[in-house]
Order: sequence, then structure tokens, then C-alpha cells
Amino acid sequence: VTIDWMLKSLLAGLGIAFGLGMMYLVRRDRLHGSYGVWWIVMSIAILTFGIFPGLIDWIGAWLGVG
Amino acid sequence: MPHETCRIAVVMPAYNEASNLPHVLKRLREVAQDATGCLVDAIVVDDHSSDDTAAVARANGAVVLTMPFNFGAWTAAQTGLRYAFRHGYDLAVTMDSDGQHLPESLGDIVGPVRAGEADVVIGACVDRASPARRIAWRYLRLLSGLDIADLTSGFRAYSRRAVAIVASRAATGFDYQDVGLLLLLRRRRMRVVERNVAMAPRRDGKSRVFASWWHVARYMAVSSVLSASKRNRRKHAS
Repeated sequence: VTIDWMLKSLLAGLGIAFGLGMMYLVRRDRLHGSYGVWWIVMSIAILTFGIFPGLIDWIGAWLGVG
Repeated sequence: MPHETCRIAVVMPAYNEASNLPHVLKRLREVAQDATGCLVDAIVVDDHSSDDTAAVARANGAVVLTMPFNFGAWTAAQTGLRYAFRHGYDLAVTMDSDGQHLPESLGDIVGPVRAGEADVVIGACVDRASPARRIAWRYLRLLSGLDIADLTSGFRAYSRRAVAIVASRAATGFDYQDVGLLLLLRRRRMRVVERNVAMAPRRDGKSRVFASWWHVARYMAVSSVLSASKRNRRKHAS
């Protein structure tokens, strides 16, 4: 098991836990539905960039800041 | 004329509906009492319109509540429902002020509540939906576990018990009056049923919720999060 693989699964787990946490807050009426949407988008971003860190470089190059 | 003492508040959120209101309120006066067997008061909630919605409503015999800002359809409706609760109405109906919902159908949606068969009756008209909207409804039904065909209909009758719930703080701040509100009613074990009613095409103007693709996307995102988050753990009927 490589360190790379471990880091990726850690970040993926973090993204999933973050998203589930937000859904729990919406369920308990502690977070308004429309704010819930943005936080869940954030959790999807953590998950995506956690698994595919290369995406950041790709987006950077695409925006001309890479 | 009704001999019974039951009183119904027909709550109509209105945003720039001065052109549609006279017709709707006139039809309501003509048919509502016969259709329901109750005394019916029209409560128009002017959602900070820029036209003479309030004056027109008042001139046509409605009680007018005026919002200090444009809050959106659900908050305006909740304001009217709070008024209905505080003034001791036996039943409250929410109805669009654009002429889409027909006062002739009031009897159909009020009946089951008066008979004690339901706490909330939704006036459903699935035929009016476009194919895209039907797919959206099916998706949200699946996600939320709500067994309701017409999720977005704002034509609903609420028993006094149900009015107490939808007028409460728990129902404050919803962006829309459909999925979030229906899930709250389910959680409080209200009996929600549907009755098929006819609906007229809008006389003037267009939908506020489905005004643009951005609105549709926002609506779907918020409704999806609410549906998935507040889904029942155990599977059982609503």
C-alpha cells in the first residue's frame, strides 16, 4: 500500500463524511436547505480533488495560471 | 347560503397580480360558499408587488396582508396561514391568485378535511405538467419517498391541526412550499391525500418558480438535498 493511495482514501473519506455531516444537519433542521446545497457541492469538490489531485494542475493550465 | 358556522380562509399569495385578481376574487365570491358549505374569506397576501395588487384585492372584498419585502410564494402563504390560525378559522386553503386554481374545485379539496378523512388535501392536476416536469417529480418522489403525484401544487386545504404545523417556526424559511413542507407534514404524521382537480392555464404572466433554467437548477438542487436528507429511515406509507 503506497502513501499516495492512503492519502487519496483519507481525503475521499473526508469528503464523504463531510457531505453526510451536512445532510445530517439539514435533516435536523440545523442547516437551511439552500446552504446545504453549497456545502454538499464543497464535499463533492473535496472528494473529487482528493481522488484526482491532478485535476488542480489541469484546471490551472486551462485557466492559464498553471 | 350556509347554515353551518364553519369558516374557511382562502389564502392567496399575490405578486403583481392586479390584472388577474378581480376575476379570481369574483369567482370565489360567486361559488365558494356553495361549493364548500362554509363561510369563505379571501386573504390576499401582497408579496411587495409593484402594481396595485393590494388596492385591487381590497376593492374586491379581500382581507389584504402586505409584506414589507418580496419574500417569495411560500413565506407569503405562511403569513396568510398564520393569520388564519390566529383568527380561528376552521380550515385554510392556499390558492394561486393567477387564476390557475378554480374556486369551483374548493368543495373537492375541502370535503375530505371537513369529513375528518384527511389533514391535508392537495388539489392535483398531473395533466398540466410537461414531460420534463413529470420526470422531475418522479425523481423527487423516488428520492424523498413521498407518495404524492403532484408535488408542486399550491392548491391545498389544511385542517386546523395542519395549519398549526405549517404556520409554526418549523415551516419557516422554506424556499418552496412543496418537498420541504410535505416532508414536515409527514414527519408530524398528518394524513395527506390528493384529489384530482381541473386547472386553468395561467391568465397572465408565468410561473415564478420555473422562471428560468437557473431557477429550475436551484429548485432541483435544494429539493434533492431536502428529499435525501429527510427521507424516512424505515420504509412505510406517508
